[in-house]
Formats: sequence, structure tokens, C-alpha cells
Amino acid sequence: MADASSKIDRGAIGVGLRVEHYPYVFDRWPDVDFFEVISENFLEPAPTQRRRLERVRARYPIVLHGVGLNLLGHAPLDEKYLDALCRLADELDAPYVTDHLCWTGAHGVSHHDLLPTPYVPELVEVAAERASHVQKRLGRPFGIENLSSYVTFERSTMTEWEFYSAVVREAGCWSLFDVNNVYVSSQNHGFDPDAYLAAIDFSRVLEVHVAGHTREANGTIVDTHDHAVADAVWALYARAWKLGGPFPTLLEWDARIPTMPELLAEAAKAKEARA
Amino acid sequence: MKHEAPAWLADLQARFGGAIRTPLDRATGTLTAATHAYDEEIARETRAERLAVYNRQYWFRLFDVMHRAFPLTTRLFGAWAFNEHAARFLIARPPRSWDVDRVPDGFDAFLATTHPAGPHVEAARIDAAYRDVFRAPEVTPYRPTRDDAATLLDAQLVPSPAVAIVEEHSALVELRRAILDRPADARVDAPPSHDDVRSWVIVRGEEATATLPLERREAELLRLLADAPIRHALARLEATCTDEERATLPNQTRAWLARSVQLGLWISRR
Repeated sequence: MADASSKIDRGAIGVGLRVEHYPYVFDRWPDVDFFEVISENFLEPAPTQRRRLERVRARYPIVLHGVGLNLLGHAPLDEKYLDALCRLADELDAPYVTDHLCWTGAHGVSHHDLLPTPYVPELVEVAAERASHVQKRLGRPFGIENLSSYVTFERSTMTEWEFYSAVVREAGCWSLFDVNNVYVSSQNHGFDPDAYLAAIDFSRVLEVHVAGHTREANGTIVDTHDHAVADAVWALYARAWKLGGPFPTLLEWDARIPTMPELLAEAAKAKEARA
Repeated sequence: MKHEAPAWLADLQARFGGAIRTPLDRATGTLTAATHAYDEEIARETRAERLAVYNRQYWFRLFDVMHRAFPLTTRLFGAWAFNEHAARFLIARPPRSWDVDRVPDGFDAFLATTHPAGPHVEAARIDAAYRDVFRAPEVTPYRPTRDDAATLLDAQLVPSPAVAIVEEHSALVELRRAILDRPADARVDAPPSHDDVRSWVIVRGEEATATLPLERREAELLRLLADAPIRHALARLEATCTDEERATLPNQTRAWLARSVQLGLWISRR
């Protein structure tokens, strides 16, 4: 297994690459440490998309971030999906691959959303075994991302951070730790985000995500990735850095996408937060 | 795997999934979440309005994917009316793939069975043709060699999947181009009908997709070539021509065939 930090510097700052950015990237080749792309967009890509990605890969490391693994679906993992993911990771020589601790599909229907489950030891075993299998198949570090959520379950017997940490530990995998998700869930469910930070083994953190969110009229915070990062999230990021830095940091921005210079300016705020 | 997911998880996911796929309520004139749908397992304090977040996210994400896949159709209907058709389609065919871009697959055919023939159905066919061309696998265009010449007339050309020929009864292709150049939400009227049906060929290039007008007989020839050996296609075309057209047909068909090869409309011969 390759060292998780072998291709991306621990202090690196990257951004999520979306289709809107290609013209700027090909024109200016901006100073970015690495890009992250959504795996599913390239598993069966149109040739044009694939050629664009190859041009980017020729100049930057690219990490793969998935939204369709369905780690906590009731059905077994989709091995054909994994075949395609492994091929893509090999072709891009991705330093690592990540996906979420969630379910996305059930009973043959894909919801194209990251959905929570109850936090119970029984599901730690299921998720950890599957994540370990994914990492073995990939032959490279596999990072599991903590979820933002809007509901909790009567059945839960563990806190979210106990559940998340246990899955990462028992799987022998890595963390993709999203501080915005911690903030969103802490506000929605009334827990202390610093308790979450304290439970994280930062030696297993591959990458930290930051992103923007939206507060609805009823107070619920929705993880929309369509705004700049909130000050409270940068503050939480700063505390995470103090506890466990350095770690590569990535800004996600998926809707109302700004120009690449604006995106990079937002991502650069990570440097200020680290100071 | 040693650890299988427990049976209760399958039950919970069936109920949770069913709740978030509940169609949004249109009665108030805005799309509102079906907050009456909830699951007994969800903690009481986060039950209805929080589940509504997932309910809205499910539908709005899919509507957004449908709008991007069918931009011309969306504008002709207007987003509100389009979403009603999209919702019917998504209820009949919920997403099955992890690839969200496959969600709209088949919407054009579905609309053709649920909506009267006319510009909306034609627009959906045109949007679908652009999707198909964009998503087609990498192909190498067929370039006949000197050795091919002797047998080419009896060969059948294999159309490239990265090419589509579309018909329009009004200027929908031009409208689509204008809509993509100036994105907006407002409904647009269908353009007035042409005197005759017009055809376009959509061809994917290295970096961009080209849309080129076809002469009426050229379009007919290209369709015939996709179904029959060249000799038969030419004979069938000639049979439908007037005496006046026949006089210039040999030169024209040679030019059209050469153009089709130059554009990369074929990937092989058989």
C-alpha cells in the first residue's frame, strides 16, 4: 500500500474541479496543488470529458471522490462499480480514493444523495469490512468521509463521531474529514463540534474538506456547497489544524460555481486559518 | 463478506427511500416537500421537516439533471410544466444507476407516449440526439482506401454512434443553440412551422460538437445508407426523385458521399 501522503504534500491546498472550470484551467494552468474530481463523472465518461481530464492529469495530481459507493446500503457492494473505479484510479494514478460513510441506493433505486443510517456497532462491522475490501481492491489508500445529515434515528446507540472513528479504525482505512459536515450536523443535531474533533485520529486523515452551506428559514443547515465557507467553519478548521495539522485541504463548491480565481481565493483562506 | 447488512436496514432503507421519493406537492404553486411522509425510526425532533430536506434534494437534483439533459424541451414547456412531465417519468422509471447522467435516458421516448406529437416531442428527440452524440464511445471514422473502391458500392456503411441526424418541423435546432447561448428560465414559444421538414446532422468532433444543415435528398441518402448497401441506397433514392433531380443526382450523390466520409459519419463498412 502506497504511503497516503506520498503524492500530495501534507500542506497542499486543492479545489474540486468542475466542468465550468476547464476553459480557465486550459488557458491559465493555475497554481493549484491538486484537483479532486467526482469519480462517477468519469467511470463511463464521454470521450470529450475523458480527454479534458487527461489534459489536467498531465499537470496536476487528481484525487477521486466518489458519491456512489453505497457503503452502507443493505445490498452488497457493486463489484462492477468497483471494477470501473479501480480502472479509473489506476489510469489516473490517483494518490487516493474517497467516498462517504452513507447509503445512496436501496432495493434497486439510486437516490443520488448521501443518506444516513443509525449509528450502531452492528453497522460498524458491515461498513468496516466493506471499506477494507474497497481499499484492498483499489490497492491504494481509501478515505471515508463523515456525513452531513438532517435526521437522526431512534435506533442509534453511538454518537456519530464514535461510529465514524470506529469504522475508519476497524477498516484500517483513512479519513476524509469534512469540517463543514461536522459543523452542519452539529448545528442540526445540537452536538459539540469540538467533541467530534477530539475523536478524530488525525494521523489517519488523508484530506480535509471545507465547503459552504445554507441556513434555511427554520434554522436547518443544508450542506449545499453553493456559498463561500462560513466563518464558523473556518474557525473549526483552524481548531482542527491546531489539533492535527498538517493535512491536505480541499474546497468543494458544486452549485452557483464561481470563477476559478474566486474559487482559489476562497481556498487560500485555509492558509490564514492555519496561522 | 463475513458481515451482512441486517434485515432491519433493508426495511429502514425501503421506507426512507420511499419517503424521500414521494412526489413534491404542486398544489400551492411552488414545489413543496411532502412533509407528511416520515419514518417511525427517525428521531421525533428531526422527523418531518428534516426528512423534507432529503425529499426536496431528491427531486430538485433530478429536475436539475433533466433540465441540463433536455434544455430545449425545458424551455418550450417552461420549467414548471416540464417538471410535471419529468416527475411522471421519474416515478415510472426511478434512477437505477450510480451514474446520475443516466437518469434522463429514455425521457424522449417516454414523452412521445404521454404527450401529443408536436414541437415538444420533437424538441425532446433533438435534445436526446445531442446527449447520445456527446456520450457515444470514442470511435475512429472510416476512411476508404484505394483497395476499397472496387467493392465499396456493394458494401454497407456503419454509422458512427457519435453522429445523429435529426428532423425538425420548425426551427428548433437554431432555437436550442440560442437557448444555450443565453441561459434563462422563462418559457419560450415554439417557432413557426417550416414549409418542409428540415434535417441536420450532429457530429461530435475532438473538442466540440458541430451541427450542420442537410439538403433534403442528402438527408434521405444518409438514412438509406444506414440501412442498405450503397448501391441499393442510391437506387432507392433515385426511385423517389423527379426527372429533373435525376439529371444532377450522380454528381450530387458523389459529393454527399464524400462529405459524409469527410465529416466522419461512418466507422466501418460491412
